[in-house]
Amino acid sequence: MISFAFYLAFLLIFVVFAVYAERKTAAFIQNRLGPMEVGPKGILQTVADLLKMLQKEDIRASAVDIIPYLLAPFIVFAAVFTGFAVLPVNADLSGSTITSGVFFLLAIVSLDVLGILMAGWASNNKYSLYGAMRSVAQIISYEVPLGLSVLCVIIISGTLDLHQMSVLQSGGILSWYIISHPVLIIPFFIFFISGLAESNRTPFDLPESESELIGGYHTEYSGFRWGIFMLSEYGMMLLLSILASILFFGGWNSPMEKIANGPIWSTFWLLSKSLLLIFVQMWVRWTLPRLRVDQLMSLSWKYLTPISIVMLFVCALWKLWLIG
Amino acid sequence: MSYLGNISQGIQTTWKGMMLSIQYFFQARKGRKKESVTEDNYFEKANGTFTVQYPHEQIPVPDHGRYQLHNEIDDCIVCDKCAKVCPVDCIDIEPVRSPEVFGQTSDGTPLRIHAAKFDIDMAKCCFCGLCTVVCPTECLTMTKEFDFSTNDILDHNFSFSKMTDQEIAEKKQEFEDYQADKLKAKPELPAIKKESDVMKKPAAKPVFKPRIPKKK
Amino acid sequence: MIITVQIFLLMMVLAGVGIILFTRNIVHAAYALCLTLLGIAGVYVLVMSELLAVVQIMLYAGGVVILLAFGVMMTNRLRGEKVLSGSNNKWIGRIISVGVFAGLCYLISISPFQTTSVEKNEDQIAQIGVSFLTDHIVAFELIAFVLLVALVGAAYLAKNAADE
Ligand code: SF4
Ligand code: SF4
Repeated sequence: MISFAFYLAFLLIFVVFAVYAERKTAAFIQNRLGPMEVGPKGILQTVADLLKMLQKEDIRASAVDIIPYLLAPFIVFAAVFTGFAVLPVNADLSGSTITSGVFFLLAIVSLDVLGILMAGWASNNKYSLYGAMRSVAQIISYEVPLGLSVLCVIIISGTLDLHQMSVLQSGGILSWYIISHPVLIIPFFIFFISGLAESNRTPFDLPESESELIGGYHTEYSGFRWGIFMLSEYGMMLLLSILASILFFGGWNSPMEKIANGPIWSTFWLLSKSLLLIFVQMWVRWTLPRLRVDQLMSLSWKYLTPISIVMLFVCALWKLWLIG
Repeated sequence: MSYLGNISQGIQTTWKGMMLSIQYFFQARKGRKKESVTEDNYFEKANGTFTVQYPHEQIPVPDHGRYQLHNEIDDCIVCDKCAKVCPVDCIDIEPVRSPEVFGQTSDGTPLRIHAAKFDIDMAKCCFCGLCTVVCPTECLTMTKEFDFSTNDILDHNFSFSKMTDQEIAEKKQEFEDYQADKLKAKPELPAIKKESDVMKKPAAKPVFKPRIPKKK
Repeated sequence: MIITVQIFLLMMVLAGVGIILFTRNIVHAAYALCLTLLGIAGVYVLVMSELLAVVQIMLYAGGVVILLAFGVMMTNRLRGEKVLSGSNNKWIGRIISVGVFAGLCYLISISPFQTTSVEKNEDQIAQIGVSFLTDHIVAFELIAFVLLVALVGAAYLAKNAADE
């Protein structure tokens, strides 16, 4: 419960500064300055934007299917945020102790598709519906490699509980899974790529491509409801980054054995690993162009899925022969 | 291309792109120096952030910048050439003729026409500079002032005439009286011919002054 | 605490069922089905069958319902009119549904369900896994085979569509 409350507060603060970081990263990669006016170096720009957004009128087109339209943003956010329930914060705050931890997380997060579909359908707008359709096709496709790459880690660790998994990786950087079990390097990349697709981030942002679909499934939303969609997207990024750092990078364990291990330090390690991964996500966003729909599908079904099945097999052999 | 070839190409190109953009990310620590376009290495600054924080920082504009138009109205002989040559018709002149030469421009051309109205609508101007080329007295010039954005587009219409309404009315009256006097003096001549006569007066021809390119 | 959760889940399931029964809008019915399935997943959690609950969410709520909604949206002409369903064959439908209901009630009443509460079992997943690969190996392999056939079939169909 405490970890859940912690993540709620952290998510809200994170989103404000992640949007700022995103804009600054974009600016620096494009030889620009980015937001500079509000606050020192523009750090309060998102706060100002947030205030503006909250004051906006809640516009509802007359042809929308009103109940699903109003519910959709909250379903998306609830689905994404429920995933945080099983994440540990540090050695003492373990999150919800359900035995099927990471499996639960993947299941509940896949429900956000429902909200997206609802938003796209209820908006009664062809762009929104296109966006929603693309999003669903994409998320369902990429759930396969995502799940398989998580399964590789589960085979090695022998547990579904994320807290347990972090405990197993304690003892310095050398016992992090990606270093102690190098076969997990390829599953990590598959996880990362599918994670980008799951959170609808560039280069897999076809569902909301501004240039073709004017925002996709959230075209018809304004003000606070739109903000909730934005919050969920960043929540998804954070969730997948924290998950990646727990699965592959030792979770809340410090890179040095016996140094910097207190509860605050562990929290710091977990979050800084995740934020680093989020930076990589932003870096990818401003580097790679958007994929075409057929490329998207062939990447998932022809490349990532077969490779992750092979890696699953390799991981099983690794577990059998090397760990015993 | 083979399956594995596709994979390796994908990895290589992604890696290359990612390395390229991270270079830019780190180069962004360097800001841009506020150098004018006349500096020697102006076009060699591909690295670092390129934009400046405009109202607070500005890149110096060279003196021969081709931005806002300025008319030195005292030197304008109201020949209407600039208005005629302007491709977008943004110069609006209302001439009021004077019975006699009432002054001299700084290059010695006699002044015969008052500019009751000399408006340049900078909202329409395409900054081609043709008007400054044809201007015989070189009173119409382009300046280095470029920041003249306004809240109301009508404010982009710059007015250069210094005459008040009263003066305009006075001058108009003066010319009408003069015309009427002339008609009285020579009633047999039609007024139209009279007018073209005035226009043909050789003294109204502007003095030709070659433009000497400034050397540094 | 538990009783509140029970009431909440009951309301969730009933609301879902009620919407499915009385709405004529198929898309709303699909969403309501999802609500019901989530409520049932909650019931599984209350009876200590956590893995089943997660499977329910993943496969039914996250998979089947979404495909259902997807299908409804794709197959209907998207011309602005609402996707409504009428009711036909009312009497035959009633007879069949009462029959199915009675049959299910009978089956449930004769099945040897465990009615006492079970303790939370930490090793549930491991046990299920082990029993899949020992006691129920034939069923497990058979299902895997059926899924493989379905996958190959889907790929074949997609290929044909692309060629033409
Ligand atoms: S610069 Fe060109 S467009 Fe502008 S006023 Fe002169 S002639 Fe007209
Ligand atoms: S061309 Fe020059 S002198 Fe003639 S009216 Fe225009 S500004 Fe005046």
